[in-house]
Amino acid sequence: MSDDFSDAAAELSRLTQADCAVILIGSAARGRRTENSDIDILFVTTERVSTIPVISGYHFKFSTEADFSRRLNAGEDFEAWCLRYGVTLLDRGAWERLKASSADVWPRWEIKVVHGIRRLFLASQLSKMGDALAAREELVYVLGHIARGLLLKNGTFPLSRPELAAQVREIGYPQLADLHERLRTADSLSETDIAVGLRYSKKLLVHLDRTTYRNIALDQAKVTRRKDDKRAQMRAARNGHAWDPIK
Amino acid sequence: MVIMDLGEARRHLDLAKKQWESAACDAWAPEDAAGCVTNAFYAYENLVVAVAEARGREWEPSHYKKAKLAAALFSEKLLITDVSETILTLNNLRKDVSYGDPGFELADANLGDIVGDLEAFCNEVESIVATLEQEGEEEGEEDE
Repeated sequence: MSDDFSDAAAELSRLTQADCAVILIGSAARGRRTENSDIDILFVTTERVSTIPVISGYHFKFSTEADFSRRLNAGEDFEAWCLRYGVTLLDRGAWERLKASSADVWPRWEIKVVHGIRRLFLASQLSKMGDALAAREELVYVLGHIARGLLLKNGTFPLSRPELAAQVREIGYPQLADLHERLRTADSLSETDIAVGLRYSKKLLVHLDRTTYRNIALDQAKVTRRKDDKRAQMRAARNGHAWDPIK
Repeated sequence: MVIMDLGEARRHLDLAKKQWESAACDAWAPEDAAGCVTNAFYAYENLVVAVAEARGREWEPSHYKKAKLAAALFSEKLLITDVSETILTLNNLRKDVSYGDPGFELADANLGDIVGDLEAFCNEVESIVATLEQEGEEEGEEDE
C-alpha cells in the first residue's frame, strides 16, 4: 500500500455498501509516525462488516457509528481524539454526522485510570513470568493511559503517543515524560527499568484515583486466586501430557 | 553468524507455556477476552523466537518481523504450521484492547479455539526443541 493511504481507504470502503468513513488516526495523522509505528486507520460504518483485512504494518480499528457515538458520550478519549485529530480519507456521510452531533464532548480522565490499572496488572504478570519485552510493551500502554489521564484532568487534550512526553513535562511530570520516552525508544532496558516503571505507574494511578485503584486491586486479587486454582486444575489434568508441568 | 542457542530456545518456550496457561485460564468462565488474546499473542511470539533460537536464526523485537519470520520458518519447512496471520490478527485484537475497546472482533472471538490452537503450536515447538536438545546431548556423549 502506498503512503497516501488511499489504497487502504478504497479497500476498506469495498467491504460495505453502507454509509461509512475511513479516517487516518494515531501518529500518522499527526505527522509524527516513526519507522516502527503502525499506521492506524479507523473504519466507521452504519452496520457491521464480516471481516476486517489483516495487513502487516496497518492496524484497522472498526466501529459501528452507533458504538462510536455511545463510547464517545460515555467519555472515552479514543473516540474524542479521532474526531479532533483524525484525517478523513473517505466519508460517505457517517463522519460528518458524528462530528456534527458531538463536537464538544470532553473525555473523562477517570476512565483512563481504569484502563491504566487493568493494563498495569497485565504488565506485572508478564514481568513476573520473566517476559521483559512483553512487560515493557504493556508498560508503555500503562504510561500512555496515565499520561492521558493526567492531561485530561489538567484540561489539556492529549496528542499522539510520540507527543505525550512533551505534554506531561509541561504540566509538571518530567519523570513520567522521561520514563515513557525511554520505554518507547531505548534499544535495551534492564529488569530494574521495568520494575521502576511498574512501581511508578502504580504510584501515579493511586495519585490519580486511590479508591478506584483499591477497588480494582481487590477484584484483581480475587481473579488471581481463581486463576491459580484453574492453573492447578489444568496441571493436574495434564498428567501424561507431552509437556512437563511448569514449576 | 548466528549460533543456535538451545538454552534461549527453552527459555522462550517455557515463557510461552506460562502465557498459554494464563490464556487458558482467561478463556474459562468468566471469560477475560483481553487477557486471553494478549497472553496468546505473546506466547505465539515466544514460540517463533524459540524456533529461531533453536535453529540459529536471527530475530528482531518487532511484531511484524516476527510474523514474517514465522512465515519464513513455515516456507522452509522448519515449522508445520504457518502462524504468521494468527500473530498479526492477535496483534490487532490486542491493540483494540489497548484503546479501551475490545471491539466486536474480540467479542466474537472463540477463546477456546484460540487457546486450543496455541496449545497445538506449543506442542509442535516443544517437539522441535526437545529433539534438538536430545541430539545435542547425544553429540556431547559421543565427544566424551
